[in-house]
Amino acid sequence: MKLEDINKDSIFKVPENYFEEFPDKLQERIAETRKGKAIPIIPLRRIVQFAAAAVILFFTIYGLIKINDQPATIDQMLSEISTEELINYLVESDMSTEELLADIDISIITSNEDPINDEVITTDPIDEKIIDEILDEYEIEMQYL
Amino acid sequence: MQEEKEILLKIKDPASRNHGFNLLVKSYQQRLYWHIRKMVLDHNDTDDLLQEVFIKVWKNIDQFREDSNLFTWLYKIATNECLNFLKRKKNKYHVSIENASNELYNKLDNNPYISGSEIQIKLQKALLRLPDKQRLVFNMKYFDDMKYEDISKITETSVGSLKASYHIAVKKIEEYINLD
Repeated sequence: MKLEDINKDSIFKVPENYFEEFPDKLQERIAETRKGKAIPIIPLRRIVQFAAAAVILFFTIYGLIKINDQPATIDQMLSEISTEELINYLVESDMSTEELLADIDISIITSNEDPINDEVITTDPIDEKIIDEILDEYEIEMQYL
Repeated sequence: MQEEKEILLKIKDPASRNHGFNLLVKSYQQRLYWHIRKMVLDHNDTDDLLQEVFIKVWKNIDQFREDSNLFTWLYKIATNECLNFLKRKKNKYHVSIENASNELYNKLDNNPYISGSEIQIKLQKALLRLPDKQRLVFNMKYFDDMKYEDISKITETSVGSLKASYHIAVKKIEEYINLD
């Protein structure tokens, strides 16, 4: 099919008397500007859209506040317990060193994110005897490191 | 041209300024309305933009140079308003170009002020696949039968580029309407 085969008549319609009424409607708006009134650049339906967005935003923020009011997470609760209390609990629980280490991510012990400390560790030679003594003392096997 | 001169003379005289402007609105409202409507499709959007165009004309009519063509000047303002409106629509809420086109597609299917044959609607959908400026050029040439020289003044684009743009647009549209 070629373009010229298509009927060129407009498919768009206008409300009845639109062009008859338009000049008066425009004159009214211009009169408002001359009186110093602000022209409503944002049409009413856009204002409704903005109002709807504001309501959604309000409830989102309200919801977030409510979530924050809820009981703290395990990490937050643990951070409120002192190290001393935690050690006492672990001593009383009679757990062996192996049992404790089994649940610990080994990367937490071995990784060091501080580049300055990294440098200290790698440049400061440690006597192997001292390492062995520490390992024996804490019954840590080499496989964990 | 004579009509343009009479309107401008009336607008220049403070005593007949309102009357002159009213004549200008009545003379050009339909042509500008259809020029805008073909780009934004929706009647309410067109109505908003047409008011904005005439308010801009009212505020800036003193800056209009008499050696220029009033018709070209008005079309230029309307064209800028249209293109800015479409740009804003695409930027608003970070809507992608595809989604903005989809919104216009939907207007073609569900609008009480749009009714045409299946192939006419398909032609409009094919037009929505063109970049806005190419669609504008196509509308002015194909539907309004305007001269390339006049389109060139409005769009500030060379006649050669406009001819190439129109030729490519026709090829793209015919490809689309002949699909399936």
